[in-house]
Amino acid sequence: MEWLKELMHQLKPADQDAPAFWQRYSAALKEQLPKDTPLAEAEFVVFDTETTGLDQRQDKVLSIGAIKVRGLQVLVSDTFECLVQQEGAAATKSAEVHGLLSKQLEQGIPEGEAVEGFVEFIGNAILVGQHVAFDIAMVNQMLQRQGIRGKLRNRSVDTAHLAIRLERRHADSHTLKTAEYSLDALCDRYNLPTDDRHTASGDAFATALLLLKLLSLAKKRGVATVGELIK
Amino acid sequence: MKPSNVIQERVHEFLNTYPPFNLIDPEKLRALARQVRVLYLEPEQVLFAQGDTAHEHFYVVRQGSVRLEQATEGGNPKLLDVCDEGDVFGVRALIAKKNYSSTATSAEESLVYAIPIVAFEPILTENPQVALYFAAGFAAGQPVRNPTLRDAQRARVGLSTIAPTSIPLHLEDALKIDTAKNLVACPPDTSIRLAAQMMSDKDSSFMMVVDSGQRPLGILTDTDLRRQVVAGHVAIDDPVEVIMSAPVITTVPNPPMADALIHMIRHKVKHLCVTTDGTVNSRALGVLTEHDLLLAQGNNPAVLISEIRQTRDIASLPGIRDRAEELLLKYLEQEVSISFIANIITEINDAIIVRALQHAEKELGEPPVRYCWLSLGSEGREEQLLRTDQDNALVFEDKNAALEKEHQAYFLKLGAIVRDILLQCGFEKCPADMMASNPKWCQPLHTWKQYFYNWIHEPTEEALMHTSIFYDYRPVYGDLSLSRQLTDYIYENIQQERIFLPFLAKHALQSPPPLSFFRNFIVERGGEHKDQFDIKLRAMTPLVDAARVLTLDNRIAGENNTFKRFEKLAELEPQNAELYREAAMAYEIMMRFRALNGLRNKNSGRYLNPNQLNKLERQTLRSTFKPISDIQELLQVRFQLNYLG
Repeated sequence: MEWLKELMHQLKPADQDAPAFWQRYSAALKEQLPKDTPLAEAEFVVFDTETTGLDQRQDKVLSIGAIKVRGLQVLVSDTFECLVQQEGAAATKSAEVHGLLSKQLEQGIPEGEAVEGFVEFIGNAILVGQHVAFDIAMVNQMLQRQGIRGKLRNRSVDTAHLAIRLERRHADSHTLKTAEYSLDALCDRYNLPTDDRHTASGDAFATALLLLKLLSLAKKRGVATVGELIK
Repeated sequence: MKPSNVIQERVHEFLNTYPPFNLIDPEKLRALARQVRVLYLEPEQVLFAQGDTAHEHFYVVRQGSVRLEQATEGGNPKLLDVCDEGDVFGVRALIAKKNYSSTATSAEESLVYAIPIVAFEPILTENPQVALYFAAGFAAGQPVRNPTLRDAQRARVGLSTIAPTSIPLHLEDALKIDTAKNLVACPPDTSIRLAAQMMSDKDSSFMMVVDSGQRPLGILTDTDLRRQVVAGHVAIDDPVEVIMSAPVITTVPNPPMADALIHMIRHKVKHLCVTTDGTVNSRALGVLTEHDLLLAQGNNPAVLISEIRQTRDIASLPGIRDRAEELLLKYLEQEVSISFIANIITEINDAIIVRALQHAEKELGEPPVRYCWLSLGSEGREEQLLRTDQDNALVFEDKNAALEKEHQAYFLKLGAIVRDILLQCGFEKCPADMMASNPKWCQPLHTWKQYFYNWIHEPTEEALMHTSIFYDYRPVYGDLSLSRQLTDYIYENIQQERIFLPFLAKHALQSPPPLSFFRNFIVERGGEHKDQFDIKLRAMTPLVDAARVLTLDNRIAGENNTFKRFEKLAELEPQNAELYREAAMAYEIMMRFRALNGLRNKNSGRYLNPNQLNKLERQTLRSTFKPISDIQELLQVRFQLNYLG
């Protein structure tokens, strides 16, 4: 069905009233890499958001951290990081987890600026994250509040799902323990450094290293192209 | 420039823990960290292969480990190094801009930081410390054309004093003395009365006696005055030349403090006359006194030694020796040259032995025949820094065969008294009982000749072991001609016995040096790991043994000290000079490590625990292993040991 969705989008006329960054984004998305592109040539953006809670409609994004992976290398030079100004955000429980104090958040940038920067950063790269659907939904919610009619349409890879898929070739949902596929558990299992967790950037960096590991594992399982990875 | 974000800051922090990155200015390092790429390597993944064109990056291990191997003609790759966290490799691309000379393979799952060369090059050119790091060959598997341990040593000294705590004591700096007001002099026919008056007027502890050309003829000190005049040996109106000490010990202007100190200790004087060219044949400019040195230096070895020489109470020796240890630590911390430190410590130890012998002679009465006390092993080689085991022997005159047993009984008692005093001073008894208190090693000259005759002509394993211990003997006290006679005898026999040197050379190859450090392990050539490093057996003894056999092969007599032996060898064999100097340098570095390790752990320092070493220390030590294996190869070839069973 994905091909049909994509086709429909491409046929739809571009939103003439949309801001320039969104028009650039829409144009970029028209040129996706072919599905038989080898993984070594694909561009990924690994990202994570810190939010006031887990409700996709009510809660808000407090910070975004993102880093690019290209040629199977994590590019420390290509990173995106921002704190987002959110009113009343400090009162939430999540703030304690992330250690983001209201004072810090006041130093953040307006939501519109944050989402614009992020969208410019990702372009048509494959989005990667731990439970990436949630983070994409949160970004979409930000877009919506900025009055943009449209959502992120990048290809995406959920590192937790990918790990399950690669480790358990005949997945049995009954015996699956989700706790074993948390970012902490995965980093631990794959012996990856996990300093500075629980900031958006720290998690994005850890997830990027996890992605490298999983891509290497994928190669061994015969997953060699973008198409095979995102299916 | 954009400020760094969390990720870049994390990379920066990691790099900043390791040399050479910790030598880079923080802002420049941050900019560099921003350009790092992270690579994941699965086990046995090849990052680059020997002969590959150099990458645009060089690498640092973030996690895991990477093997560097070189193809050999035999087919089996030769392991060059194993890199672990923080190790820099693949720098051939950076330094030589040539194809890789080895293959890098991950030994396990690894994360590797790739540092762009374009971004690093400016740092390399403008930061001399960083340049020195690479010049010294600290990066793993780095092909150093001329293995430059000297650079490594310079780099180690330079890099390790990044956080200096105390104001360095510039022992090796030139010592400045004010020569203008300092010279109190008179002609030789001056009366003692007048000289004493002048000394008292000028509040001087000495009077230099000079000829018409201001050249020093002798010196009169307040001690001389006291001893000679007050005791009534001379008349107060006699000329000073009657009682002056001559010749005068002289020095060049502004001598290194270390030289001045050694001069004073050697000649047992407290004044050095400074002359224009440093000899008695030029104008006297001033006088350098022990007091000048004391002021410049605080706890002074010359003072310790004179205390040892003068103390009436033998029980005060241990306390004095403990102070010498403090001095040692201070010297080591301040990177004073090892040969100087070894010199000082040897003088101190010798003074204690002499004092102990004098005490024993007083207790037992005059020795029945002449004898000579020999120090063996590291003490014999003048390279003992820490108080390790006692190794000594005693040789006495062949006089009356019938009384030999009686004589030996006296010297055994003497040996036992000295042994116990040394024990109190912190020198453990030799576990193998190689001490003059053991009848076997307290013998008349003819028996010692017999021992060496047997060892040389029947070089069994035990004989070779004995040779390597006893050969490095050094006479410390008594009749030195006995020691000389023994040395002559040994040389004569070694010249005659052609099989001896090859056997001794083979003995020197018994323990090959390890390859590298890896985490808390020593990497052996075979690839296995060991967790403690016996620096004495695995690194120092091979060099000591090699220096000994090569010196003998070159017919050099009378040089015991390992780095002096190598120096001598470098003169005699210019084609190998570079290697010999490397070996000497390696030996000095190891002596320093061992001494520091011993002081750190309050033991002999012999066993190094790799996890007590920082990265730079490991890399420094690793760089000393190379000359050892090179020297061993040289022995192998020179003595054709492949043909020796």
